[in-house]
Amino acid sequence: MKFRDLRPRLLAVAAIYLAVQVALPVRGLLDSGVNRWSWEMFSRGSQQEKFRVVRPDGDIYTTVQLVLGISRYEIQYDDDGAEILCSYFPEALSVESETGTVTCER
Amino acid sequence: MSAESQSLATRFRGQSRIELVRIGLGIALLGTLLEYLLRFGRIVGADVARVPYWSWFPSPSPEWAGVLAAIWLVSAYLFLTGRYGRIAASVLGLTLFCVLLTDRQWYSNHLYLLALVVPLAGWAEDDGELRSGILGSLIAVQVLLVYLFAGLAKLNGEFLSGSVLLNYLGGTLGSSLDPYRLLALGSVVAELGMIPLLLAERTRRFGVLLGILLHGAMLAAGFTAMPLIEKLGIANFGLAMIACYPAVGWLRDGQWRSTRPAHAPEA
Repeated sequence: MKFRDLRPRLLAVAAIYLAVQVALPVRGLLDSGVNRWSWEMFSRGSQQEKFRVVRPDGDIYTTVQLVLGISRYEIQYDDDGAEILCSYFPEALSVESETGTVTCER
Repeated sequence: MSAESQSLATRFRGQSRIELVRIGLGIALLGTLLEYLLRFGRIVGADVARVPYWSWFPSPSPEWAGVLAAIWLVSAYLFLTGRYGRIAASVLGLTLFCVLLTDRQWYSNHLYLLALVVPLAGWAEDDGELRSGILGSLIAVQVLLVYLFAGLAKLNGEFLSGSVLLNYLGGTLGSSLDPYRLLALGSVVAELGMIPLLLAERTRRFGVLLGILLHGAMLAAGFTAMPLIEKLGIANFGLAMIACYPAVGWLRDGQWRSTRPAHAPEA
Protein backbone atom coordinates (compact mmCIF):
# COMPACT_ATOMS: atom_id res chain seq x y z
CA MET A 1 0.00 0.00 0.00
CA LYS A 2 1.34 3.43 -0.84
CA PHE A 3 1.06 6.60 1.19
CA ARG A 4 -1.12 8.18 -1.46
CA ASP A 5 -3.74 5.51 -0.74
CA LEU A 6 -3.95 6.52 2.94
CA ARG A 7 -4.35 10.26 2.48
CA PRO A 8 -7.93 10.30 1.08
CA ARG A 9 -9.10 7.91 3.81
CA LEU A 10 -7.62 10.02 6.60
CA LEU A 11 -9.11 13.16 5.11
CA ALA A 12 -12.49 11.44 4.68
CA VAL A 13 -12.59 10.41 8.36
CA ALA A 14 -11.61 13.95 9.36
CA ALA A 15 -14.31 15.39 7.09
CA ILE A 16 -16.98 13.15 8.67
CA TYR A 17 -15.84 14.18 12.14
CA LEU A 18 -16.03 17.86 11.20
CA ALA A 19 -19.41 17.46 9.50
CA VAL A 20 -20.87 16.01 12.72
CA GLN A 21 -19.22 18.71 14.82
CA VAL A 22 -20.77 21.40 12.63
CA ALA A 23 -24.17 19.78 12.06
CA LEU A 24 -25.01 19.21 15.76
CA PRO A 25 -24.40 22.81 16.90
CA VAL A 26 -26.13 24.23 13.82
CA ARG A 27 -29.19 22.12 14.67
CA GLY A 28 -28.94 23.41 18.23
CA LEU A 29 -28.81 27.01 17.04
CA LEU A 30 -31.99 26.52 15.00
CA ASP A 31 -33.77 25.16 18.07
CA SER A 32 -34.96 27.40 20.91
CA GLY A 33 -33.72 26.38 24.32
CA VAL A 34 -30.46 24.83 25.46
CA ASN A 35 -29.20 21.71 23.73
CA ARG A 36 -26.54 19.15 24.49
CA TRP A 37 -23.64 18.54 22.07
CA SER A 38 -24.01 22.14 20.82
CA TRP A 39 -21.75 24.24 23.08
CA GLU A 40 -24.65 26.40 24.27
CA MET A 41 -23.42 26.84 27.82
CA PHE A 42 -24.81 29.85 29.71
CA SER A 43 -26.67 31.03 26.60
CA ARG A 44 -30.17 30.95 28.14
CA GLY A 45 -31.76 31.12 31.55
CA SER A 46 -33.38 28.45 33.64
CA GLN A 47 -36.86 27.16 32.93
CA GLN A 48 -37.08 25.17 36.13
CA GLU A 49 -39.53 27.46 37.91
CA LYS A 50 -41.91 27.01 35.00
CA PHE A 51 -42.55 23.32 35.79
CA ARG A 52 -45.37 22.76 38.28
CA VAL A 53 -46.23 19.29 39.54
CA VAL A 54 -49.94 19.03 40.49
CA ARG A 55 -50.65 16.54 43.28
CA PRO A 56 -53.99 14.87 44.23
CA ASP A 57 -54.47 17.12 47.27
CA GLY A 58 -54.31 20.13 44.98
CA ASP A 59 -50.87 21.17 46.14
CA ILE A 60 -48.48 22.32 43.50
CA TYR A 61 -44.85 21.32 43.76
CA THR A 62 -42.56 23.69 41.91
CA THR A 63 -39.03 22.93 43.06
CA VAL A 64 -37.93 20.70 40.24
CA GLN A 65 -34.29 21.44 40.98
CA LEU A 66 -34.49 19.34 44.14
CA VAL A 67 -35.13 16.11 42.27
CA LEU A 68 -32.46 16.69 39.65
CA GLY A 69 -29.05 15.82 41.08
CA ILE A 70 -27.46 18.57 39.06
CA SER A 71 -29.86 21.14 37.68
CA ARG A 72 -28.93 21.15 34.02
CA TYR A 73 -30.78 23.52 31.77
CA GLU A 74 -30.57 21.03 28.91
CA ILE A 75 -32.86 18.64 30.80
CA GLN A 76 -35.44 21.33 31.44
CA TYR A 77 -35.71 21.95 27.72
CA ASP A 78 -36.05 18.25 26.85
CA ASP A 79 -39.37 17.31 25.27
CA ASP A 80 -40.00 14.60 27.87
CA GLY A 81 -39.25 16.79 30.92
CA ALA A 82 -42.86 16.53 32.11
CA GLU A 83 -42.90 12.71 31.73
CA ILE A 84 -39.72 12.47 33.79
CA LEU A 85 -41.38 14.41 36.60
CA CYS A 86 -44.53 12.27 36.31
CA SER A 87 -42.47 9.11 36.79
CA TYR A 88 -40.52 10.59 39.68
CA PHE A 89 -43.64 11.70 41.57
CA PRO A 90 -45.92 8.61 41.55
CA GLU A 91 -48.76 10.58 43.11
CA ALA A 92 -48.63 13.43 40.57
CA LEU A 93 -51.77 14.07 38.53
CA SER A 94 -50.19 16.32 35.96
CA VAL A 95 -47.22 18.51 35.21
CA GLU A 96 -47.76 22.04 34.00
CA SER A 97 -45.17 23.88 32.00
CA GLU A 98 -44.90 26.87 29.71
CA THR A 99 -45.80 24.71 26.72
CA GLY A 100 -48.93 23.14 28.28
CA THR A 101 -50.14 20.55 30.74
CA VAL A 102 -49.17 16.88 30.57
CA THR A 103 -51.47 14.43 32.36
CA CYS A 104 -49.53 11.73 34.18
CA GLU A 105 -50.67 8.29 32.99
CA ARG A 106 -50.87 5.61 35.69
CA MET B 1 22.06 26.75 11.98
CA SER B 2 23.08 23.35 10.67
CA ALA B 3 20.52 21.00 9.22
CA GLU B 4 20.99 18.65 12.16
CA SER B 5 20.50 21.31 14.85
CA GLN B 6 17.58 22.76 12.90
CA SER B 7 16.00 19.34 12.83
CA LEU B 8 16.57 18.94 16.59
CA ALA B 9 15.03 22.36 17.24
CA THR B 10 11.99 21.49 15.15
CA ARG B 11 11.67 18.20 16.95
CA PHE B 12 11.94 19.86 20.35
CA ARG B 13 9.34 22.46 19.42
CA GLY B 14 7.10 19.74 18.10
CA GLN B 15 7.40 17.56 21.17
CA SER B 16 6.72 20.46 23.46
CA ARG B 17 3.56 21.31 21.53
CA ILE B 18 1.93 17.89 21.93
CA GLU B 19 3.32 17.54 25.43
CA LEU B 20 1.77 20.85 26.44
CA VAL B 21 -1.57 19.72 25.07
CA ARG B 22 -1.36 16.37 26.87
CA ILE B 23 -0.24 17.84 30.20
CA GLY B 24 -3.03 20.42 30.13
CA LEU B 25 -5.64 17.85 29.15
CA GLY B 26 -4.30 15.40 31.73
CA ILE B 27 -4.74 17.95 34.52
CA ALA B 28 -8.21 18.83 33.20
CA LEU B 29 -9.07 15.10 33.19
CA LEU B 30 -8.08 14.72 36.84
CA GLY B 31 -9.89 17.93 37.80
CA THR B 32 -13.01 16.77 35.97
CA LEU B 33 -12.78 13.39 37.71
CA LEU B 34 -12.81 15.18 41.07
CA GLU B 35 -15.86 17.16 39.95
CA TYR B 36 -17.61 14.02 38.72
CA LEU B 37 -16.96 12.15 41.96
CA LEU B 38 -19.12 14.84 43.56
CA ARG B 39 -21.71 14.54 40.78
CA PHE B 40 -21.78 10.72 41.02
CA GLY B 41 -22.37 10.97 44.76
CA ARG B 42 -25.43 13.16 44.24
CA ILE B 43 -26.93 11.57 41.17
CA VAL B 44 -26.89 7.96 42.38
CA GLY B 45 -28.70 9.08 45.56
CA ALA B 46 -32.18 7.67 46.25
CA ASP B 47 -33.85 11.08 46.38
CA VAL B 48 -32.79 12.10 42.90
CA ALA B 49 -34.69 11.43 39.66
CA ARG B 50 -33.03 9.23 37.05
CA VAL B 51 -32.93 10.84 33.63
CA PRO B 52 -31.73 8.19 31.16
CA TYR B 53 -31.48 8.81 27.42
CA TRP B 54 -33.25 5.51 26.80
CA SER B 55 -35.86 4.07 29.18
CA TRP B 56 -34.41 0.55 28.83
CA PHE B 57 -30.96 1.72 29.90
CA PRO B 58 -30.01 0.48 33.41
CA SER B 59 -30.00 3.12 36.14
CA PRO B 60 -26.56 4.22 37.27
CA SER B 61 -25.53 2.48 40.47
CA PRO B 62 -22.74 3.43 42.91
CA GLU B 63 -20.79 0.36 41.70
CA TRP B 64 -21.07 1.44 38.05
CA ALA B 65 -19.94 4.97 38.96
CA GLY B 66 -17.04 3.48 40.93
CA VAL B 67 -15.87 1.31 38.03
CA LEU B 68 -16.00 4.26 35.61
CA ALA B 69 -14.13 6.50 38.07
CA ALA B 70 -11.40 3.88 38.63
CA ILE B 71 -10.82 3.39 34.89
CA TRP B 72 -10.87 7.16 34.42
CA LEU B 73 -8.27 7.71 37.19
CA VAL B 74 -5.82 5.05 36.00
CA SER B 75 -6.01 5.95 32.33
CA ALA B 76 -5.80 9.72 33.03
CA TYR B 77 -2.64 9.10 35.05
CA LEU B 78 -1.14 7.03 32.22
CA PHE B 79 -2.18 9.66 29.66
CA LEU B 80 -0.65 12.47 31.74
CA THR B 81 2.63 10.64 32.28
CA GLY B 82 2.85 9.49 28.67
CA ARG B 83 2.86 5.76 29.45
CA TYR B 84 0.79 3.66 27.08
CA GLY B 85 -0.48 7.04 25.86
CA ARG B 86 -2.45 5.78 22.85
CA ILE B 87 -4.16 2.97 24.74
CA ALA B 88 -4.89 5.28 27.68
CA ALA B 89 -6.32 7.95 25.37
CA SER B 90 -8.56 5.43 23.60
CA VAL B 91 -9.80 3.96 26.91
CA LEU B 92 -10.43 7.48 28.20
CA GLY B 93 -12.47 8.35 25.11
CA LEU B 94 -14.69 5.29 25.61
CA THR B 95 -14.99 5.83 29.38
CA LEU B 96 -15.93 9.49 29.06
CA PHE B 97 -18.59 8.71 26.44
CA CYS B 98 -19.92 5.97 28.78
CA VAL B 99 -20.25 8.59 31.53
CA LEU B 100 -21.91 11.04 29.15
CA LEU B 101 -24.48 8.51 27.94
CA THR B 102 -25.30 6.87 31.30
CA ASP B 103 -27.61 9.64 32.50
CA ARG B 104 -28.57 13.01 31.03
CA GLN B 105 -27.56 14.68 34.29
CA TRP B 106 -24.00 13.49 33.77
CA TYR B 107 -23.65 15.59 30.64
CA SER B 108 -21.36 18.58 30.72
CA ASN B 109 -19.81 20.48 27.87
CA HIS B 110 -16.26 20.09 29.14
CA LEU B 111 -16.66 16.33 29.62
CA TYR B 112 -17.91 16.11 26.03
CA LEU B 113 -14.96 18.25 24.88
CA LEU B 114 -12.50 15.99 26.73
CA ALA B 115 -14.12 12.86 25.27
CA LEU B 116 -13.52 14.30 21.80
CA VAL B 117 -10.03 15.76 22.06
CA VAL B 118 -8.24 13.34 24.42
CA PRO B 119 -8.24 10.44 21.90
CA LEU B 120 -7.07 12.84 19.18
CA ALA B 121 -4.25 14.11 21.42
CA GLY B 122 -3.28 10.57 22.37
CA TRP B 123 -2.72 9.56 18.76
CA ALA B 124 -1.14 12.78 17.47
CA GLU B 125 2.60 13.35 17.48
CA ASP B 126 4.55 16.33 16.28
CA ASP B 127 6.48 14.27 13.78
CA GLY B 128 5.56 16.14 10.60
CA GLU B 129 3.47 13.23 9.40
CA LEU B 130 0.10 13.54 7.77
CA ARG B 131 -1.80 11.61 10.45
CA SER B 132 -0.48 13.81 13.25
CA GLY B 133 -1.18 16.91 11.18
CA ILE B 134 -4.79 15.88 10.69
CA LEU B 135 -5.35 14.84 14.32
CA GLY B 136 -3.70 17.97 15.68
CA SER B 137 -5.64 20.17 13.28
CA LEU B 138 -8.88 18.48 14.36
CA ILE B 139 -8.13 19.39 17.99
CA ALA B 140 -7.55 22.98 16.88
CA VAL B 141 -10.70 23.14 14.76
CA GLN B 142 -12.70 21.59 17.60
CA VAL B 143 -11.65 24.33 20.01
CA LEU B 144 -12.38 27.05 17.46
CA LEU B 145 -15.81 25.51 16.78
CA VAL B 146 -16.58 25.55 20.50
CA TYR B 147 -15.84 29.29 20.64
CA LEU B 148 -17.77 29.93 17.43
CA PHE B 149 -20.95 28.14 18.46
CA ALA B 150 -20.75 29.29 22.09
CA GLY B 151 -20.59 32.88 20.80
CA LEU B 152 -23.37 32.39 18.24
CA ALA B 153 -25.68 30.68 20.78
CA LYS B 154 -25.38 33.75 23.02
CA LEU B 155 -26.63 36.06 20.29
CA ASN B 156 -30.17 36.04 21.66
CA GLY B 157 -32.16 38.73 23.41
CA GLU B 158 -32.34 36.90 26.73
CA PHE B 159 -28.57 36.55 27.07
CA LEU B 160 -27.70 39.99 25.69
CA SER B 161 -30.15 41.63 28.12
CA GLY B 162 -27.86 40.46 30.94
CA SER B 163 -30.62 38.54 32.75
CA VAL B 164 -28.98 35.13 32.25
CA LEU B 165 -25.72 36.27 33.83
CA LEU B 166 -27.60 38.09 36.60
CA ASN B 167 -29.23 34.78 37.57
CA TYR B 168 -26.05 32.73 37.18
CA LEU B 169 -23.92 35.10 39.20
CA GLY B 170 -26.54 35.51 41.91
CA GLY B 171 -26.51 39.30 41.72
CA THR B 172 -22.88 39.61 42.85
CA LEU B 173 -22.50 42.73 40.71
CA GLY B 174 -25.67 44.39 42.03
CA SER B 175 -29.28 44.24 40.93
CA SER B 176 -29.01 46.58 37.94
CA LEU B 177 -28.84 44.80 34.59
CA ASP B 178 -26.24 47.21 33.15
CA PRO B 179 -23.04 45.48 34.35
CA TYR B 180 -24.42 42.08 33.33
CA ARG B 181 -25.38 43.44 29.90
CA LEU B 182 -21.81 44.68 29.48
CA LEU B 183 -20.41 41.31 30.61
CA ALA B 184 -22.74 39.49 28.24
CA LEU B 185 -21.67 41.60 25.28
CA GLY B 186 -18.03 41.28 26.28
CA SER B 187 -18.21 37.50 26.49
CA VAL B 188 -19.78 37.21 23.02
CA VAL B 189 -17.13 39.52 21.50
CA ALA B 190 -14.36 37.61 23.29
CA GLU B 191 -15.58 34.17 22.21
CA LEU B 192 -16.03 35.15 18.58
CA GLY B 193 -12.84 37.23 18.61
CA MET B 194 -10.77 34.29 19.85
CA ILE B 195 -10.99 32.58 16.48
CA PRO B 196 -9.11 35.11 14.30
CA LEU B 197 -6.77 35.99 17.16
CA LEU B 198 -5.66 32.38 17.69
CA LEU B 199 -5.45 31.62 13.98
CA ALA B 200 -3.22 34.52 12.97
CA GLU B 201 0.47 34.04 13.79
CA ARG B 202 0.93 37.68 14.75
CA THR B 203 -2.01 37.81 17.18
CA ARG B 204 -1.94 34.33 18.71
CA ARG B 205 -0.37 35.62 21.94
CA PHE B 206 -3.26 38.06 22.32
CA GLY B 207 -5.61 35.17 21.67
CA VAL B 208 -4.02 33.07 24.42
CA LEU B 209 -4.13 36.04 26.79
CA LEU B 210 -7.75 36.77 25.95
CA GLY B 211 -8.63 33.09 26.50
CA ILE B 212 -7.00 33.05 29.92
CA LEU B 213 -8.79 36.31 30.80
CA LEU B 214 -12.13 35.00 29.49
CA HIS B 215 -12.04 31.72 31.40
CA GLY B 216 -10.50 33.35 34.47
CA ALA B 217 -13.20 36.02 34.48
CA MET B 218 -15.94 33.35 34.25
CA LEU B 219 -14.52 31.63 37.30
CA ALA B 220 -13.91 34.85 39.25
CA ALA B 221 -17.35 36.29 38.48
CA GLY B 222 -19.18 33.22 39.73
CA PHE B 223 -16.83 32.33 42.55
CA THR B 224 -18.95 33.49 45.45
CA ALA B 225 -22.35 32.66 43.94
CA MET B 226 -21.75 29.20 42.48
CA PRO B 227 -21.61 25.87 44.29
CA LEU B 228 -18.31 23.97 44.31
CA ILE B 229 -19.32 21.63 41.47
CA GLU B 230 -20.09 24.55 39.16
CA LYS B 231 -16.81 26.24 40.04
CA LEU B 232 -14.88 23.06 39.32
CA GLY B 233 -16.78 22.71 36.05
CA ILE B 234 -15.89 26.21 34.88
CA ALA B 235 -12.25 25.76 35.91
CA ASN B 236 -11.99 22.39 34.14
CA PHE B 237 -13.66 23.72 31.01
CA GLY B 238 -11.23 26.64 30.86
CA LEU B 239 -8.27 24.35 31.46
CA ALA B 240 -9.36 21.91 28.73
CA MET B 241 -9.85 24.74 26.23
CA ILE B 242 -6.56 26.49 27.00
CA ALA B 243 -4.72 23.13 26.91
CA CYS B 244 -5.78 22.80 23.28
CA TYR B 245 -4.45 26.21 22.17
CA PRO B 246 -1.01 24.87 21.19
CA ALA B 247 -2.80 22.56 18.73
CA VAL B 248 -3.79 25.60 16.65
CA GLY B 249 -0.13 25.55 15.56
CA TRP B 250 -0.84 22.40 13.50
CA LEU B 251 -3.56 24.27 11.67
CA ARG B 252 -1.41 27.35 11.10
CA ASP B 253 1.50 25.24 9.88
CA GLY B 254 -0.74 23.51 7.37
CA GLN B 255 0.64 20.17 8.52
CA TRP B 256 -2.64 18.48 7.61
CA ARG B 257 -1.51 18.93 4.01
CA SER B 258 1.77 17.18 4.80
CA THR B 259 3.13 14.85 2.17
CA ARG B 260 5.08 12.80 4.68
CA PRO B 261 3.76 9.28 5.05
CA ALA B 262 1.82 8.22 8.15
CA HIS B 263 3.63 4.96 8.98
CA ALA B 264 2.57 3.69 5.58
CA PRO B 265 4.32 0.59 4.32
CA GLU B 266 6.72 1.06 1.46
CA ALA B 267 5.39 0.44 -2.00
